[in-house]
Amino acid sequence: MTLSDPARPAASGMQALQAALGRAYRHLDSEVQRARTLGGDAIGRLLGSFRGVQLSLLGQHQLLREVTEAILSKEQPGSDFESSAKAMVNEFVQETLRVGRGSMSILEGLARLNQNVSHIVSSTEQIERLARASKMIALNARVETARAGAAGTTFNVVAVEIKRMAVTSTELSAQIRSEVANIRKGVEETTQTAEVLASHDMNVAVQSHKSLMAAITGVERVRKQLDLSLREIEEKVAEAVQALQFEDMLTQTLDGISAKLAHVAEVVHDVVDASAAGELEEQTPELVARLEEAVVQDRVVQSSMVQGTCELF
Amino acid sequence: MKISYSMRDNGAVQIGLPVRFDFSCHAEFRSLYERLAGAKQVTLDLATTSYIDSAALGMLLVLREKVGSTVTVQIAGAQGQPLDVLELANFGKLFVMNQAGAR
Repeated sequence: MTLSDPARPAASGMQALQAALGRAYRHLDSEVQRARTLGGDAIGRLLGSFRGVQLSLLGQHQLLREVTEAILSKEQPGSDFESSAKAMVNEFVQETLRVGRGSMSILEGLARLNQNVSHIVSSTEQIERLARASKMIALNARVETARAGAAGTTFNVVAVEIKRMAVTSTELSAQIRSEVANIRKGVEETTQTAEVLASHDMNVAVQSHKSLMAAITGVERVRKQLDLSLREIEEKVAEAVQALQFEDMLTQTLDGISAKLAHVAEVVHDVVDASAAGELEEQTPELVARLEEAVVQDRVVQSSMVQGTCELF
Repeated sequence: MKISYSMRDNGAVQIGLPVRFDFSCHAEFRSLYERLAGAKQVTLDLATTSYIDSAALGMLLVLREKVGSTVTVQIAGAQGQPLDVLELANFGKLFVMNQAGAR
């Protein structure tokens, strides 16, 4: 190379150009590295957030599942809320039936008792009629004995005794009537008690049962919805995680750009050397070929997340 | 009389129950027991009944026992509150439930 050749750039100019190219290359490369770092950090954080959300949702789902299973558990029949509540309602209904059935039997017994009491009353009335008749007989006997004088004295004793028996019968009859009245009062009170025991409004039990069934159906629906939503969340998170894996592609693309920059810088450096040596024209085809190869060479051939080939690993 | 009663030649008895079948019917209902002798089948018609209570359930249970296990006792036409109560009490296990009504 000679300084007097006008076709050749000055050596100092070539050196300055090479230095400027070197600085430009390093600047561009550092930008690429910075972009890679920023992209990697952001994507890493997004992935972390998605996984955190996924874990939180899984935790919530697990808690809700435990709650619904505590209500609807089929693993331990009889121990869960559903079985216990149904058993409680059933027990209430059966107890109510027993009381209703028992009360009706008591009423039947009371009715028979009332019939027997009526028979007693009827018998008492007959006794009273007999007593009245006996009194009349005793009175007539006393009239006759008075008329008979001394001869009727003995018969008078019998007449007095008959009257005394009639009086006693009347008193006994009165006592029986009084007892019968007490029995009837007792029957009436027992009937009222049986009515109170037997008459339960079943609407409360029916409504409780309906509410219980509605609540259990609601919990079943919530559990199915939970399972469905969990599957949807898992699918969406998986899609998001897959989408965020373009970090690898980004890194490879940026690495590719960095490598290309290095190749271009190398070719440009050789262009400057060839120019300085006066061999630029001679070396131009080779330099152009190297430059084209450096730009065309590609490590990542993918334009979207769903198609293309990618050297991820 | 709140309760109707009829017996066919074939021994099929039909008892029509009132709108409100509760404790107040017990004397009249009890009087039916002795008229069920010889019954081959008893149908309790609840088509017009809109309310029953636990006393009514007790009366039905007593009637079921009185007629014996050889006689079919059918509850027909129950709907609304009476049907809810009968189902809650599992009466389908003791009686033939016919929601279509008495035949």
